[in-house]
Amino acid sequence: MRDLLTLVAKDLRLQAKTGELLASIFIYSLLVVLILSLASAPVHGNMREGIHVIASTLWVALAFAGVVGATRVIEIERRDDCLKSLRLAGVSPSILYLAKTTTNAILLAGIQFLTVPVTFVFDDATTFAIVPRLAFVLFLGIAGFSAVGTVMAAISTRAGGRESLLSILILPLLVPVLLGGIEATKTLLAEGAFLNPNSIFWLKLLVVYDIVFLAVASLVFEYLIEE
Amino acid sequence: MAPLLLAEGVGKDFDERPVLDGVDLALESGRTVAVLGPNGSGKTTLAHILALLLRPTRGHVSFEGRAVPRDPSVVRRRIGFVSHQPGLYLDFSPLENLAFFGRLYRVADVASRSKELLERFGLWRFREEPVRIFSRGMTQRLILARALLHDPALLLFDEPFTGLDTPGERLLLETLDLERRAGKAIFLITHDVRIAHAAATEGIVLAASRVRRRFKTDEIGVDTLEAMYRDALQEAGCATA
Repeated sequence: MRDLLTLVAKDLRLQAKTGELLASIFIYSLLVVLILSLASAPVHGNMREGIHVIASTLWVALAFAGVVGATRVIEIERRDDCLKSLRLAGVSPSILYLAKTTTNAILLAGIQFLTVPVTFVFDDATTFAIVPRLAFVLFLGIAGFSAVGTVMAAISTRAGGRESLLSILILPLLVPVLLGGIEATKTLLAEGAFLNPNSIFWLKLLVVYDIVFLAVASLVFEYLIEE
Repeated sequence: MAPLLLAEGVGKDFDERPVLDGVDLALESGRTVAVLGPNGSGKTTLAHILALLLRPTRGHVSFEGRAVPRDPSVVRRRIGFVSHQPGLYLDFSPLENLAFFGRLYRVADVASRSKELLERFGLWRFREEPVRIFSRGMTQRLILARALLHDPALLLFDEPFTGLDTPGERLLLETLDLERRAGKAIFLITHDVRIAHAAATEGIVLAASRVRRRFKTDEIGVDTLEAMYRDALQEAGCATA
């Protein structure tokens, strides 16, 4: 636990110092939100269409930020051989994985905190009463993105493919997160709560997928970073 | 008493091509083993195997008489490693780097230990500067400080003189001597026969993936060692300078 906190604190401190990652993923996300919101402005009169637009805007922004963020968070350790120093310091691969996933999740949550309000500026129908529930859905999505993204980024940077390879690798594994997240968000925006069994199913899918992926990835991460 | 680290018949293949074969080596406390060899002879691969960063394809490595466990994290904490790459966060200052690694290594008083090492390596006045602006020699000094931070029992140096100026070289030679006298086991990779002779108690010549010669520096002079090195390279079919 001590190593986990030390690693996360180091990553956040590095990000705060350089601002490199935060700036790039924030701009990406903001651009996505603005473009999709502005492009879909004429259909906002239609409540149903509006829900689809908001749900897709939120999740496309999260997907962009997730792919870029995961790569950079792992790349910090590959650059200048810092990963070797961490291995020599006795950091266990599973702790390293959880630390990288946590850092990624914190950064994504920060980006969502800034971009979600912008999404709602373009929508008149949504009330702020759903924000806590929406935050819960996004939290599950962020956890899933970070868990999958960290593993895929480790594979991708090891192969030298960086973001191009990551985009190909990550998509199939993110399907459950994207499906669950988008469907749960749409239901929430339409009904204001998770009332029907359909939305409960998607939420359960997100929770189970996150837990299973975190557990399995913690065990196999060793094979991705050990030579 | 068992050596601190023992390698028996160690070999490594990459893509089924052997880069190291049949290496026997014992690293004992208070001794410095030099490894001389040309580029591509397998020196760095051997250093990575001894640092428990790379699993050998053949042979065994034991630490304090016990086989290295499948998860070698705990044993690795007793090793200090200086390699070609910095292994430091370049946006952090020397103090921030040492504080971070000190916490991972469970160094009791990391602040005073960092100060001691930064003063020893002439970096104290640059303690708040980002490592990114450092010259190669200054970075190398910080790498040395990081490797010694947790007072490891085994020190592995892969070409540690790279980038150092004359005072830096002298400082490193003094450090090697000081650490050996303090009871550390030291493994030193170098191209330079004179440095190997000055810093080591014994050594091997590695060429074309195999150990070609063994020597003790108190038994031969530097000229004899140079001749031995040249012969070993010729015998292995390596070009000599």
